[in-house]
Amino acid sequence: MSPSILRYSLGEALRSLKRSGWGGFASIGAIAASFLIIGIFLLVSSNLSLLVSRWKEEVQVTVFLRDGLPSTQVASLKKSLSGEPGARSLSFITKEQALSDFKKDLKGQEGLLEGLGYNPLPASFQLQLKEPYQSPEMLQELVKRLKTWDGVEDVLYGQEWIEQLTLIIRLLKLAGMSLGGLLLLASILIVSNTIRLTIFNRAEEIDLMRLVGTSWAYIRTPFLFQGILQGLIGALLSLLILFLSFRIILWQVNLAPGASYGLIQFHFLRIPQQFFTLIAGALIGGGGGFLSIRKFLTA
Amino acid sequence: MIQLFHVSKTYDGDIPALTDINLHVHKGDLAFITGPSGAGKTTLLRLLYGDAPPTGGQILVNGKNVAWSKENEISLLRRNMGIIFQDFRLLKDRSVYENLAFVCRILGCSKAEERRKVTQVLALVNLTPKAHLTPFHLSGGEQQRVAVARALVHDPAILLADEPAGNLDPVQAQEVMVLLKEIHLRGTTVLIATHNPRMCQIGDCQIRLEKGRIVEESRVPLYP
Repeated sequence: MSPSILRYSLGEALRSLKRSGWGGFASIGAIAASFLIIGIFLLVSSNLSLLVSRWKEEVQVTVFLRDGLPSTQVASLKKSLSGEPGARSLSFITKEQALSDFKKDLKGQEGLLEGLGYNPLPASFQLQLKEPYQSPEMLQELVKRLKTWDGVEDVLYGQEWIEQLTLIIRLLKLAGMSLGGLLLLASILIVSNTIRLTIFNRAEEIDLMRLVGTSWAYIRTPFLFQGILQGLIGALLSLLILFLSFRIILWQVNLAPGASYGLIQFHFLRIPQQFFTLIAGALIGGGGGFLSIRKFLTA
Repeated sequence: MIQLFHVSKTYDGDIPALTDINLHVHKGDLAFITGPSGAGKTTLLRLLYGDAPPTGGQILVNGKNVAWSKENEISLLRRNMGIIFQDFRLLKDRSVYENLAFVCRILGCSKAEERRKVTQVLALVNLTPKAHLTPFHLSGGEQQRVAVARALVHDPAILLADEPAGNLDPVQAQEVMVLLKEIHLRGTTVLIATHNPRMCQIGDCQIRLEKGRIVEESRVPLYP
């Protein structure tokens, strides 16, 4: 494409956009709404994903021991657990330590335990696992095996709800993509319709251009650019709204963006995700423009 | 300049508009195509500027075969043509000056070139004082003069006019025909389609069409 066509097309696209009034506003609004919905789902699911991946790092299997186990058997269990192929680290919590930790957790309500007169908490091993051994299947297999070991009372791991959270994230992504995808399809049609109206409004001009020997490329390109511009503006608008809403919500709950809050670290869409949104906006708008051009601006 | 060999055109497969047309318009001619409504005059002009393909035969314009031309070749061909219609086809929301400048701009003229060309053709059609008015404020004759100016603003070698005086009263029609004669005298090949035989007296050649066929062709001898 020659620079003169490019310059002319951009200028004409901007002029058409200004003249398109409510139609142009509707196109931009529809694209912004579609990307906003996708963005919300993406933002929530990516923050949850980050949370889950951090929790996964913390995945540990707690092996509770039967009361009154001789120290030789404890040592033997320790050796066996350390020898597990997925073991990253292993720590032993005595009955006394377990009770003292529990008291700390109860903070201010320690009196509840005073009437007991004995320590009901068992001693346990905390087994941290390497990343490849954290899959639900391997964990379940390990837990099943450990439960059969002599001296082991019970085995617990916090994986079930992480799995459920992972499923929720997948569903969120799917819902966002499906709903956003449908809205984006509708946006293509709205953009296409706006550009169709612009083409009809400029029918006399287009006829005249054809009569004086203007090439189709020269006639069509401004309409394609108009679609691309509408898409870009819509996508940009959605990012702005999403960003402002994100900041306001974090401010409301007194969290600085990007700052850690325990394990939770909230972040906005990454730069590549923002870039992808803009590109997708341009493609959606361009697609709408292309549909109209193919239908109404042919020889 | 314009040559047609055994050209025919049918619409919707079987409705004949033109049949076996053979025609030669020389460079610098002022030629008239006459005939009643429905004779095929407009179809003949449309074939010349590539708005419709012929069903059969060959059409040479400036040495290029229009019948075989692709879209981009037709665009290039039209850059060397000016076309005038009975209904003027002006951009109603723009001034006379902007109507002319629009053509210059889309054909890639610089601002200075645009100003020079528009001023020149406005003077030729005698509309300089009305350059700032929109077509709504002009008479039919004036609007057709703007259309003539627009057809000339890019210095075409050929001017095609389809019933240029069809919508005008006799005085305005006469003014437009005088203007077209002036343009012809400046060296442009002019081909005018009209149903009014009285308009043809100023021409070099006259082709009469009836039911899509040439029924009469006459040429004014160069040296009577």
